Amino acid sequence: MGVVFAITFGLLCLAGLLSLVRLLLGRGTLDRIVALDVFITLIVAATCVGMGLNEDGSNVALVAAFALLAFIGSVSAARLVEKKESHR
Amino acid sequence: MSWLDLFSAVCLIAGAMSCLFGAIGLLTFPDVAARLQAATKPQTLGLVLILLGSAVHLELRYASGLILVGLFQALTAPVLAQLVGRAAYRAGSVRHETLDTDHLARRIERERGGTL
Repeated sequence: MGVVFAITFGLLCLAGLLSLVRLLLGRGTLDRIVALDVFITLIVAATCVGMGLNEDGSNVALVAAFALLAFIGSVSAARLVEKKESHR
Repeated sequence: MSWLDLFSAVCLIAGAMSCLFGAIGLLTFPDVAARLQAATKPQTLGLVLILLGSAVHLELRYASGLILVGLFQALTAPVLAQLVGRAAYRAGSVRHETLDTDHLARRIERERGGTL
């Protein structure tokens, strides 16, 4: 079972690296917002894999807070961009 | 390795693959609308599968919290996609030649006609 957790963690790390590349390359604020949201989702997934590995669920509150923060941050950033564009 | 472990292993690997495909799509797709597609659907599926795979190993009270997180992600991903997609359209970073139909153009035209 340890091998499965290791493979899962490796794949998630690779995905996080790819989304970081998109975050750095950018081509616009909205692309970066999307990439950051994906990155935070991957952090949530990786934390859950760690919880499953240790069979200790005390990080559930942390995971829920991260998911909530990702949503609020991305939505407010998208609203801000839209407001700026419509005033042009 | 019991049946529960096997189920968990399949869920974890499939979820991680789905997350990886989403990230590859995020990197390679051409414009914001297409990247949004890659960022929401495979990511949500991957996260739900990983939550399912790791919830098997936890106690019941923690596993119910994970189910809540999955439900929350499934509810918020479409809202975010809608908002970012609309902002991208108005910011002009959607390629119009790749669109099949464009319902928003008529509406924006009408709004502009009403205000001017």
